[in-house]
Amino acid sequence: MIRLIAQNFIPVADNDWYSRRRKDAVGQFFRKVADQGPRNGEGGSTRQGAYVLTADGKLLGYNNNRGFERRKGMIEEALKAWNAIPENARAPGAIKVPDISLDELDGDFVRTPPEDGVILEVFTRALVSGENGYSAWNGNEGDEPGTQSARDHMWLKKEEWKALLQAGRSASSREDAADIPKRLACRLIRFHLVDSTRGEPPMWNLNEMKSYEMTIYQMKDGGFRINGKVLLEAEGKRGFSANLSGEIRVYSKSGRPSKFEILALGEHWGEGTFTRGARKGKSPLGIAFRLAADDAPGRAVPPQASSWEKGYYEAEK
Amino acid sequence: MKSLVLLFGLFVFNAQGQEVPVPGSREFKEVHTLIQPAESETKWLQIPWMTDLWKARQLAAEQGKPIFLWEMDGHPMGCT
Repeated sequence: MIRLIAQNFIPVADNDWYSRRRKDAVGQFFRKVADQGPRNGEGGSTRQGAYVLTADGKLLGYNNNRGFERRKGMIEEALKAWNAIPENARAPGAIKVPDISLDELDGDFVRTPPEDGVILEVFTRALVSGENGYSAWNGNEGDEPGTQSARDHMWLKKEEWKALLQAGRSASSREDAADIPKRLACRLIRFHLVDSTRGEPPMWNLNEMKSYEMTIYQMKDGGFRINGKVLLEAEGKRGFSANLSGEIRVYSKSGRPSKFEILALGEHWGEGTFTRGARKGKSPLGIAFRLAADDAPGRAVPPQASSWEKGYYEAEK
Repeated sequence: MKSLVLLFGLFVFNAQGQEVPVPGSREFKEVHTLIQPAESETKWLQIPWMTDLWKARQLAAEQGKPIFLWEMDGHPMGCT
């Protein structure tokens, strides 16, 4: 399947939440394609699935079934439909797609990483603990939702990561460690300490942060140490009780982070509308943050919670 | 994922009075790595995914190829 897609197609991954809403040419193009399939028409309902299409918007295949054989079958059929198009209509350069400028895009539904900001990759995994330590949770019946590492991104603006390090420089030990700026702490806790292992997770409301403490200090070797603990609870439905620890290193010339790692480890319980199938009771959950490499796949993909952009950046409100 | 990480020796109490482990530096690295995707979980990233549909259209037109669009609620490369 990997070879089939990589060799025969231009592969693109996209977030339907944005594309079905945006009012610019990109959104219009996507909806034109989707309207040729079963998930069509006006309204805000999902259009998610796998599509095969031509560059000028003719739908050649669609399904929303993740079963290997059915998806492979759809792709092969779509490839036959592509090859049935007259050669002069599908040859390189036969279709013209104009450039589109930034100011033509629908700013309400386009997210770009903050200039000179920091992008962190965020991974979440269901764990099990035993006498001998932690291991990945592999499910009760084999290949089931929630057994893999889930991914997201966290964005920090330039002034935010600078303020974080400035706070760290004001303290030199765990005993006198400084509080992490509230806006940043709330963003990390509310929007990234979530159980995303089975799908789109519910985020935490401000009043569901029952208690938290996140501090930073500068170590003798110049690096920064982060410590913290949180208790999150949504009306008895779900919760997360965790400790945090982390380390930041910076480039001596630019002062930018060269390493930015945080680990949140604790017990999670409950589930959300799109994350059904949680384990019973409280279960170990780990969340790891790391600096996104410049060439990391999907580096510019926005944080899941930034669909509400203002709320994401002003997480303390 | 067969790796097993030793339980931490140090514990603190959270607001509910439960013990929650705090990792030391060696354990931090091990658990931090354990949580990240294993090689077997990243095979799909061998596909050179683009994340801009319009640019994908342009490239498809230029190369004379069809587009494979993976469209999900929650970006496949950011909420999976």
